Amino acid sequence: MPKISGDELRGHLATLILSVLARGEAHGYEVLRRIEDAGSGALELKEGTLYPALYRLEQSGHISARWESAKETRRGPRRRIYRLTKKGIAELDRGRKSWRNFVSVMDRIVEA
Amino acid sequence: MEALRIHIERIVRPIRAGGRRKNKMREELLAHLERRCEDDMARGTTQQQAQDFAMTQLGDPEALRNDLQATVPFLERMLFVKLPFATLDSWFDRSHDESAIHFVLVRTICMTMFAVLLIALLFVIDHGPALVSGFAGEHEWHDLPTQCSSLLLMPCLIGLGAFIAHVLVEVTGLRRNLSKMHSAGLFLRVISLNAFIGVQLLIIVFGGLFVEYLTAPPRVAAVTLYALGSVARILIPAVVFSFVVGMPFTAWVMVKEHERYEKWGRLKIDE
Repeated sequence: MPKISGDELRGHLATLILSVLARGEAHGYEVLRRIEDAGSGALELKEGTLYPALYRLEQSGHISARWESAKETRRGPRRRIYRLTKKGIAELDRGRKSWRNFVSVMDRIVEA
Repeated sequence: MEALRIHIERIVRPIRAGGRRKNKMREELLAHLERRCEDDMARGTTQQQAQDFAMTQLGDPEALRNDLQATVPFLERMLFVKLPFATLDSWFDRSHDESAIHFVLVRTICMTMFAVLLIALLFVIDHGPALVSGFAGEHEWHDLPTQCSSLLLMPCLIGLGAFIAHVLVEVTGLRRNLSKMHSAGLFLRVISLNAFIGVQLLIIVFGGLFVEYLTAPPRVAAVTLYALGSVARILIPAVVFSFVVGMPFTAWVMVKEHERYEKWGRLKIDE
């Protein structure tokens, strides 16, 4: 399968993150794994780009974050668990509509 | 996993942001890289290969640093702009190669300049609108030269106060003892440093007031006392608030942060 680079994903990363968080709360690495798994290995995402995107989503109130509790903690550094907020759900809805519109417009042009 | 920490520190340390935010970034990126390494090592790669791969996968450090920097709110970014001169801690710690005279003079000059700015600001606030709008009374125009000369006298007095305070601190060995307190508890060090700043400010204000009261003619003294009183009105509540609320809280937060992130600060990175 041809790879999709990070540049092609630019602008859609927020929607990707919100989509995978819609399946349930997750820490950063898990978010990445879910995106990679859903993309069947076709997505070539620079992993570092995930965290600035998560912080921006958190600041805009689309997701909320908490440090994992003592029970959840394994050995090593703590992880932050992210979850979708109501505002995030609405944003995801908008993102999906925008994506469908983008695909349909591109389809009409490219497949013409 | 020291290599991972150093890699993260190279990315995070130069970011202009508060300690809490940077520590969040550090811990989260480290958790990510460690998890990536564990997964790769479970697939049979060596630790070295796993670490190299994890760091490569994280992306270009400079691009990531810029992206992380962009997530820091504007005001916070401005608060942590690197100044061309010393940080607060080194301001009160004389380096080994700096002479005591140089240390005292530089700080005295800085304090005097700060006083000039502060007093000019107070003067503009008090008299600016009346003078600009032309509604100043006859006596205000008449008094202006006297007021200006007495206002110029004050920075000199404050500078003298700063000079005396620093000399006292040097002579009594207080600053030297503060520097040695690195080995003492961090809580104690923060409290002492704050107390040192507070006491110094009080010496400057009341020392200036006292000297001025003893030496100046009554009219100049009245204006100077008024302006110094204005400074004191701002300074004393600030110092009291700092002692009662700010200092214990700051110390507590710093101790908590320090305990958790002590290792990061010790890492040697090429900045």
